[in-house]
Order: sequence, then C-alpha cells, then structure tokens
Amino acid sequence: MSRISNNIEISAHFDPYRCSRCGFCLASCPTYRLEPLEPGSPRGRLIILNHLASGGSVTPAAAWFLDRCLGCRACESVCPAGIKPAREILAGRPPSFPRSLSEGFLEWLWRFGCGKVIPRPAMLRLALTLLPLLRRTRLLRLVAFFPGFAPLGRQLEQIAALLPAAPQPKGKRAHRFPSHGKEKYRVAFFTGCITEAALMPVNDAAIELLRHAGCTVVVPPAQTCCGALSHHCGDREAAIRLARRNLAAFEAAEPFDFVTGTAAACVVHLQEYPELLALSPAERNQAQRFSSRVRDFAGLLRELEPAFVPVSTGRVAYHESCLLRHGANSGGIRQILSTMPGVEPVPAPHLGCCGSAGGYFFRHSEVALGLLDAEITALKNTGACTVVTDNPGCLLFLRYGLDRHNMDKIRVLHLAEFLKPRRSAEQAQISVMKGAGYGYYLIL
Amino acid sequence: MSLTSFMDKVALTVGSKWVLTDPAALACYARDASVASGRPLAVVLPGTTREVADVLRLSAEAGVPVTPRGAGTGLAGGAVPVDGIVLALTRMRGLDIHAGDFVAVAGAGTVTGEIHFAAESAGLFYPPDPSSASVSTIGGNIATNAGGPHGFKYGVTRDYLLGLEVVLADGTVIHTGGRTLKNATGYNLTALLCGSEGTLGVITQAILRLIPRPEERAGVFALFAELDAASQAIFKVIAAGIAPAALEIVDRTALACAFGETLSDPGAAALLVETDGPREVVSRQTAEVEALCRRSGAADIRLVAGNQVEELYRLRRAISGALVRLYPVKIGEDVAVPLSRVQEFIKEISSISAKTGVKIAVFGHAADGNLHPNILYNPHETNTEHVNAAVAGIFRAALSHGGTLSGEHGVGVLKKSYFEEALGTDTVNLMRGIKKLFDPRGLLNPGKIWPADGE
Repeated sequence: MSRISNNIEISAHFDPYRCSRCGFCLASCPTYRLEPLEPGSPRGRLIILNHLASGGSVTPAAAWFLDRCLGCRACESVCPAGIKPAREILAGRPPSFPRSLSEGFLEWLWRFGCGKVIPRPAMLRLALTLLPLLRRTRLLRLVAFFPGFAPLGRQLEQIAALLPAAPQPKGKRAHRFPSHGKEKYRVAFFTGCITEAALMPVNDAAIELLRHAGCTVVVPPAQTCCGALSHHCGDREAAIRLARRNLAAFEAAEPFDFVTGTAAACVVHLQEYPELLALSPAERNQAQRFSSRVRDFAGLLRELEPAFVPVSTGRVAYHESCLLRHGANSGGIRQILSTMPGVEPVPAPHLGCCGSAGGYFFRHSEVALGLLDAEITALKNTGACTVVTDNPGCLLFLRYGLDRHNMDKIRVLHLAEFLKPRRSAEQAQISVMKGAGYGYYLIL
Repeated sequence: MSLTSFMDKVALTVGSKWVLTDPAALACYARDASVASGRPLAVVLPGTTREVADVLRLSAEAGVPVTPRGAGTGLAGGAVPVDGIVLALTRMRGLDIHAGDFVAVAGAGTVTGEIHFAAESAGLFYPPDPSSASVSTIGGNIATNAGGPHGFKYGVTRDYLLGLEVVLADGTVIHTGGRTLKNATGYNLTALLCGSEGTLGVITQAILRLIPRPEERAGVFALFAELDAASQAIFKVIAAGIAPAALEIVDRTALACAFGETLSDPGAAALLVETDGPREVVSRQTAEVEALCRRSGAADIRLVAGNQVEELYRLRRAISGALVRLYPVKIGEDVAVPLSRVQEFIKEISSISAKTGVKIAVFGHAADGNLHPNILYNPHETNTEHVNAAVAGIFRAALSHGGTLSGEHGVGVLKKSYFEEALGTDTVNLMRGIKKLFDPRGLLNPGKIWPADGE
C-alpha cells in the first residue's frame, strides 16, 4: 500500500501577521525551550491563530497551546520582521478550554481573584492571611479528598507556599514623603497591590531611596491594581476599569515629573495604558500624558544618578523581569549594578522566564515549575549568593524555587532593598529594620 | 495494518504525549520557512534512536510515508510533508564535547547554536554557521548540508561530519564513519547522507569535527555607493591571497530591512568581511581589506572587533526574516556560481529584476559564490507569472555561469522542476537508483528533490 499523494501546495500565502516563519522566535521562547513542540512556540501559535481565523475549530489542544504563552515577549525582541507575537497571541486567543472541572474552577478562581480580590487591599490582605494559614493547618489538603480535585488542592498549596509566612503589618502609608535635601523632582509612586500587601518593606525602601535621590514622593491614595493580571487572563473589562481608576487617582495627585513603582511588570503595563482598547480619545490623551512619565525603578535611578552603595558585594545574579527585558528600556538593573563598587553582576541563567509570569503559575503550574527548576538549578553554577530582581512576582517565585531546592542560602532581594544611600547608611538601616519579619534584613 | 492501529502502535512506542493529531497542531508542522505547505496525518516526536527505529519499522509495515523534520527553518520546502507522518527530531538534544578527540557527538535535534556555544566553552570552534543557527538543528543542517558565511575558509557542514547514526527506512540502525579524522574504509556513506534531505534515512546522531578556536577575529564593514563596486571588491580581496573567515555582500534592499536603524544612509551595498586567526595576522589582513575596499570605491568603512563583530552578524542573520517588512511574500533562492562569475551574475540578477518587474534583493556569502537572491512581492499586486519568470531566470542564469541550484538549502520541493536540467538525466537516474536501494517503497520524505513520475 502506498499512500503517497502529491498534496504539497506552493502558494503565496498572505500572512496577516507578516510572519516570515524564519523560526528565530523558537530559540527565544521559554515554553519551546522547555519542550520543543512547534505549537508551543510563537511561530506555531501564530499559525494556530491563522488556522482558527480560516475556519479551524477551537479544539481544547489549540486553546491550550495558545494559553501556554507566558506573554514574556522574548519573541518580540528577536523577531527580524519586527512583529509582536506575544501581543498578537494575547489579543487573538479564544477563551481557554479548561480540560477538567478542577481546572475550570481554578480558572474561574483566578479571574475572580484578579478582578475582585487583588485590587481591594482589605480582601487581598484577608486572602494573604488565610491562604498560608490554611496551608499550615493542612486544611488545603481537604480539597484533595473531593474526587478530581487533587490537582486543585496541590496547586492551592503551591500558591500558598509562594506567600510570605508572616502576615504583613497593616501599615497606613503617608501620602507625601518630602525629599531629603533639595527637591529635584516630584515622583508619584505606584505601590502595586501585591507588593504593598505582601512586600511592604520593598516599597518602604524604594520610597526612602527616592527621597535620598532628591525626590519628593507622593503616593496617590485612590490608586488600585494596574490591571495587568486581568489583561493577561483576558478579562478586558476589568483591565479597562482598573486603568480608568488609576488615571483618575494619579491625575488628582498632580503635579509630578515621574511615575514609578517597584513592580516592573506593573510599570510596563502602566506605560502601555494608551494601547488599551476601548479608551475614548480624551481618555487616550489622558493616558498618554500619564504613561509618558512612567519609568521603571531601575531606569529612574539611572536617570537620577544618586550616590547609592550595595548592601553586599561579590557576585550578584540579576533577574530582570521579562516585560522590561524585552522592552525599549531594558538593562537598567544591570547598569545600576555594574556601577556598584565590589559588585560583579552576572545574568540569572534562565530559559527566558522564571515561570512566574503574572498568574501563569496558577494556570500552568507544570510549565511554570519546569522553568523555575531550570533557573534554580543553573543558579548554583553562577556562584552568586544574591539574586537581585525588579519585580515582586519574580522575587516571590524565585524565593519559592530556592526553598524547593533547599538553597535558601541564596537570597533574593528587590533592587530597592539591595541599594542604600551612601551618606546616610545608618538612617537606611533604621527604616529597613522597621520591615520586621524578614530574617535577612538583619544582615544589613 | 490499518492507519488506526498504526497510530495506536506509534503512540505506544513514543508515548501519546508525543503524538500530535489535533488539526491546529498539525497546521504548525505543515510548513517550514518557505512558501510550500503540506498536510501531515500526524506528528511524532521520538525521544531516542530506538523509538525512531520502532516508528520507522511500523511505518514501513503500514506503508505510511515519513517526513523527518528539525526546527523547520528550511527555505526549500524540504521538511514540508507530502503525506503521512512528520517525524520531528527536536527532542533528541543530547550533546557531548570530547575535547581530547576534537569531536562533538550530537543528537539530531541539538540546536546548532548550542554546539557553537559548547565548543567555544571548551576552547574549540565548530565553523558551519547557517543564519538560523540559533534555532536550526544539527540533523537538519546535515540533511541539507547547510553552510553559512564561513564557507570560503572553513567549508560547510559536510566538511565537519565524521560519522553518523542513521535509521534506515525499514528500521535498521546503521553507523557510518567514526571518530577518526581520516577514514578511507569503504564508501563514504557519511558524505552521501549529508545533503540527502531525509530521503535516504533518518539521521539520529552525528559525530562532528571541532577545530581550535582562532585567537582573534575582527571585521570590516564597508559601504559602497554602487553594487558593482562592492562585487568587484569581493574578487580583489580573494585575489590578494586573503582567506576571509567571511565575506558577505548585502544590497540596498537587504540593508534597508535589517540594518535600517544603524545606518543613516545605507548606500547601494555593503560588504561584511571577517578575518580571524593569530592577532598579528588579523590586524594586518584587516588593514589590507580596508585598503582594498577603499580602492574599490567604498564610501564609508567601519572597523569592528569583539562583540561588535557578533552584532554585525546578528543584523546579517536577520536579513532573511526581515525582508517581509517590505513585501509580504519572499522566495529565498540559494544559487551558487564560480567565484570569477560572481560580479557578472549579480549584474544579471539586476537585469532579471528589471525585465520581470519583480523586486529581487541580493545578499549572501560572496566569498564562496553562494548568493541568496530573494524575490519579494505582494500576491495581491504582482502577477504570479512574473514571479515564476524571475525564479526561472535566476536558476537559468546560475546554470549558464556554471553554477548550481542550491549552495546550502537543498532542492526540497521548490527547485525540483529544475533538477534534471541542472544535473542531466543520467546523473539523476543514478541518484534515483541509490534512493531505491535505501528506500525501495519510497516512504522517506517523498515528493522531494526530483519530480514524481508524471508531475
């Protein structure tokens, strides 16, 4: 039996994405590097979108491969044709197809969390207190007893393990912090919902550094979640609602020269507010005025050139968050570290992403853990004792990974915690000591 | 064996996770980087040689065609499946460097760039460097006898291939060559399988030759106001007795697509010349190349060293993918002509472009006569007849200069209608006979290299 038929087509296929299919993105894509499957690559995902657009049905496999995109944008920075696969995939993918009841529940829970819990400080604090508690008392394990819910129980446990053990003190933050010395700039500070609730000392440290760099820091009280998490899980309504609230909150805090925050992924999302669909022309103008002043924390420090010193010297692995690394203003964290005396910065050895990627861990924990384990294993070989990052998501996830591998001797710090003002080191120590609950602060 | 029972057995062999049948997933394996597309029945991703052998045995029993595939970066349609299953070897990523033997042993799915990196880490050098090296697999490089910019001085993939592990159409595993640098024991099957485009067997592992890493490398980037002046300079550099590690020509269109942001005025063409070797030789040759380019009328010359050389290569490698910035569709050709004809041939491409009214960008590995005329067009605007005329024109011009259809991409499906014209009937018949010997039922990568009967 020979089943050979000559059904090769040679056609000038007009690709709406203008993808030349050169394949360069495959090498950059963390999911492809983890598992070299074409549909799990940016080029493959664009082909799937084309396949769906030309009448192919949305099968669970198609939705699953599209949904596995981390949105890290590594493909965008290597594409010779200059197209943006990660953003095309986010915009074009159909609602995902949960394969089981527990997956469906998890999906719903995550959307609910992004839209309704995380943006509300009180709710978020409650969740951040309850989840570790449920984990410690092993109540989460109960979930696993319901038929089909074992994976859900495991995932909730893993998520709970990500969170800091002790609940944060419910500190009320002042709205204005005058500069130490002469005011050079006024900076509006974006706290970020998870950072403020789970990693408040990071924000404390950042505000203090900015004051030492000659900035008066204002913290608009009505600000909320940037909306990136909702945006990335396809909840466009929630994303736009949160963007509008932030635009209004920051407008009320005018005048300011810059906007910054300690969560690099949120900062990039704030910079992209004008690109959000469904904004009216007036809102778009407002968004443009706002976004043009948004700087990532490392980038702003680079502009301010303050006299800071590192809290420790030696080899330091820097983990720049994906969205920043693959954007126009990448490299800030490396540049800052390379100016620090006694610090030898080396890139954190990852497959392109640690796997944290917003809520990715929630939806695809298998891939996320694969990427995390690869990075943690490779970290050993760098010889670095400290990892410095610019994003709370990466920070929590890397700490979790080091813990999993019993490598908690390597500490993970936010850039804001790694730097201290040169002249008033003592003062910094006091402010940092206030962020109790973190053993490693004592090293300072 | 029915198709269903074949698929069941394959799934048992490699694990059902590594068999894809979803239509969306199949669409991803229907194409490579060329304009050809096919329709696979299923995609199978084996993890070991044993699994490859079992799958091939099953497909031989069931009469199901098998199209081997690496990373799918080919530009000739060689990995586009006519029918049957796609056998994607991307999971076979094992790599060992044996520095003492100057040898690397790599699984077929190992990414070429990983071999470069591992060799460099051991102080060694693996010269074949196709533009897609960051993603292409060594198996695919061997199947197409891939080259790259280093061809003139260092040769192509075949020149670094010492031995192969190959699974034949019936599932037999054979080993060719070995770890020795010399080998005169019998027919050179290694060389035969290299460039056979998956039609004779499935390559599962390769033994590659590594050489000492050159002490220094430096580059000269010269911009010319005239394309002809640039192609004249190529000949002058080589005639001066300099063996450039690379000598790349890039015309105005290609420069605008890939180098646009780094150049204020791209000019008509650029040469990228790399010299490598002992420090003193590199600095002397760099000066000589600079002087020769200047004498040929280069308007702007930049000398680069270290990381800047790599940055220039990054831009050079981006050309093929960047051309779609100008026109949505490109057909990337890969002809090679004798060195003395390069200048004449480049002129002829310009006249083909003028005659057919189709935009043709020219860039490529000028030092070894391997050029990539890329036909660029918008299918909504340009008549297919004109495109076909341009393609035919390029092939006929290359052949008339004593050249060949493909320097490093292979024949695949896109060049097969010119194959017999290029080689002559007797040679093609001998090749068909060899194919029959390896694969009597014609199940391995059918529909490639030569036209099927009646096509």
